Amino acid sequence: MRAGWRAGVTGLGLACCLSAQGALIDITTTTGNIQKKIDEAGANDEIYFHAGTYNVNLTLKSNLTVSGEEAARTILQGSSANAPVFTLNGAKVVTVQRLTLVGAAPGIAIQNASSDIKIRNGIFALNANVNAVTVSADSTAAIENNTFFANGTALQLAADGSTAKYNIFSENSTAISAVSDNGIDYNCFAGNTTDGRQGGHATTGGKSLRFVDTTHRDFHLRTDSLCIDSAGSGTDIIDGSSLLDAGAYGGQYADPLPYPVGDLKATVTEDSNGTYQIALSWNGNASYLVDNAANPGKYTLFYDSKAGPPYEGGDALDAQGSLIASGVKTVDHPLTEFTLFGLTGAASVPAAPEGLTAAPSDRKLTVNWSSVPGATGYILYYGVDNVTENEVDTRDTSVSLTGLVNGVSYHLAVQAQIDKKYYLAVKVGDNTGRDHESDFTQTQATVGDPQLSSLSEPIAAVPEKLQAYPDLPNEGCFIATAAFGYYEAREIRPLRQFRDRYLLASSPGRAFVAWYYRHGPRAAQWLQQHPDYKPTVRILLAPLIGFAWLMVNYPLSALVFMLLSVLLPIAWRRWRAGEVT
Amino acid sequence: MKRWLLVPALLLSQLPVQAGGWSGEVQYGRYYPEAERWSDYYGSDRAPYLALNFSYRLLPFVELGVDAGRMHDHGRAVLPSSGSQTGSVDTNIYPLMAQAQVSARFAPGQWLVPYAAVGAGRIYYRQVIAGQDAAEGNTAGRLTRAGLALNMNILDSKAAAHMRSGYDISHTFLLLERQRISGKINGAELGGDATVLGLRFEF
Repeated sequence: MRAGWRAGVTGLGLACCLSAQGALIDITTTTGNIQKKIDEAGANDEIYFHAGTYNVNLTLKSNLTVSGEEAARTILQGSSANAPVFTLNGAKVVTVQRLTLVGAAPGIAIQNASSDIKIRNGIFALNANVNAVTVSADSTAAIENNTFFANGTALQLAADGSTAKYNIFSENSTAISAVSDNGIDYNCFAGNTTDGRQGGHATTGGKSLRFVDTTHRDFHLRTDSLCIDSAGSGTDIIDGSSLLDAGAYGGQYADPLPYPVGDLKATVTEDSNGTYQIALSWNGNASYLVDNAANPGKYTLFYDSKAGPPYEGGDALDAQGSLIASGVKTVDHPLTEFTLFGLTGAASVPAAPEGLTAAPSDRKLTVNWSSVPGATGYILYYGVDNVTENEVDTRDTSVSLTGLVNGVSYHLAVQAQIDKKYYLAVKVGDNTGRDHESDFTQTQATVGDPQLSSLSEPIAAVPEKLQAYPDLPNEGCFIATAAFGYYEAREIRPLRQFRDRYLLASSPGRAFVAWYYRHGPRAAQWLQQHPDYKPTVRILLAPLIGFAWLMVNYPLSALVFMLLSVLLPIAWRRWRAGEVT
Repeated sequence: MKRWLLVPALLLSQLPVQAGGWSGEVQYGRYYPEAERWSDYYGSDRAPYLALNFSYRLLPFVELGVDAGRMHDHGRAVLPSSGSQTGSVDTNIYPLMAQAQVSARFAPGQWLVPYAAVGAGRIYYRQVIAGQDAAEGNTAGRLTRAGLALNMNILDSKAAAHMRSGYDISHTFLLLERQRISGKINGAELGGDATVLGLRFEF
């Protein structure tokens, strides 16, 4: 896209202006210190933000251009909401273009004798109490072809000398605060609480300027927008019109890319002949450059059985039964759906994975296995009592299971699967015939049921038990701990509380605890080695735990219960004896 | 014989403190565990220590009571296969001792009162390694304490009067004390030395 941009600009006879162009400094969302990149930039370098969201408060120096890849999708948000995204302190010859600024106060502060500043083709949607662009009395700037939406004061010019042209001001508290109308021309106003200085050739209208979708910050203009061709004569880079659109998508420096389609959905259904179809639908692009009955834009559909781009097609048919071998199909707006036919699901059953191993560490098992030819994914099963207690879907042959309990034995097995997945994408192109296409909107769909292998040979592994210093012995409830899996199990707490409150309070109780501590570990070890008996032990322990819980929480009712369980059988016997005699 | 018995009885009756009466202490300071490599695993050779003490004055010089403390430290565990430190460990040690204390109080206006105590009881512990069973238990332990008590009543008689009338506290002391706690389980050392500052309230 970037190369296309520069070629387009040069093609318009502006090569003269780019001769002094410096280096291009790419910024992505993973770039570390962006301020440092700016500080280290040379004269006439261009800081180029790729599409994405950035949390920044930056200070710009002289002789610099700051650009966004796409105005709507290159979003700069203040990392501090109370500071400007861009501060220009005494900076000269700076251009800021094709960016969306949000969440800062103000968006751009131009001050301390800054001059020859160009702010263009940007979108300012900060918030209702915040100024979008402020220019101090000792500074000057050219503010052109921007869209200001729902700000406090959109543009604050403290003195004459700056220009404000071809902008759209919509739903701001105040559109332009300036000392005079000088330099203010061809702006489009609607729905502001106060327009302020309108200057010459102003276009005014109702509240809505007919933006495509303000929620998603798509400020392209709809067909009946009053800001289309409203900004006097010039050249619109997008459609080549000699009448300029106002706002971020007008003029010769505008971002020409349509906004990608939204809400792409893929619905799979099975046909009567055993094949499948994928019905794709999406939200149409409502920009006037696409949504035009006489000259509509178009949507290009892509598909592939492997992730793209590139998308290279495959075995899908269209409604007429023709093979879409290339993987590309074009439909004209306003059609926003298309169906792929004749798709088949996975055919072969994969072999069971082999070579399952597990490397133990602290609360973690790193599980590996050999890849299975043709497998598109794997399901790793693991559990303490049963291998199918938990499962993890993965496309890799290695999984790290974390959050496990050290010293507990886990059973593991893996299953290979083959599914038939289709990767789908849609682009929208405008009606200008200039190859302006949006970015991909992508989705995927699985056709048919996945084919699953049998389970691999199961293995058991124990996350390594850590040792503390000093290595203190545990005198806890060994058997119950082994039966319930871990020491902190909710069910074991009453037993511990019962031990502390009742057993340790008397010498027979202490003798029992001592006896238990001598023999309990052996029984617990046996139980760990024979996990099949754990459910039985848990059932056997249940009345004991219930009694301990009663004794800890409701000792009186526990005693009554005990008394009744002795007296009732005696009474029953006596009654029966009396009945017989 | 009766005359010989009369002398100590007379001396005791002249002492500034009579038998009977409760006292309570709250102490806070540093516990220096005796386990040699403590700092390797916990990052420091000391840990915070809080103790409470309640005692009854059986004789003018002698008190019997209970001392309960808590030491807590947070450190790293060891992966036995590699010997590398990983995970996290919380170790708590709770000495609970019955003790007898002797104080050298000879005059009503004595600023500094040296005292010493010995005790015996249990040392409880709870050691939690994140992600696995906690280790908890107890073992026999011994306690020796010695320190100096600064009589605060003499420093501020107005406050002392207020404490007496408002809270029934006859004397308040500021304590500086050294403690020695001993106890082992399976060869693992639980004991250590503690240096604490505290307040003692006599009722």
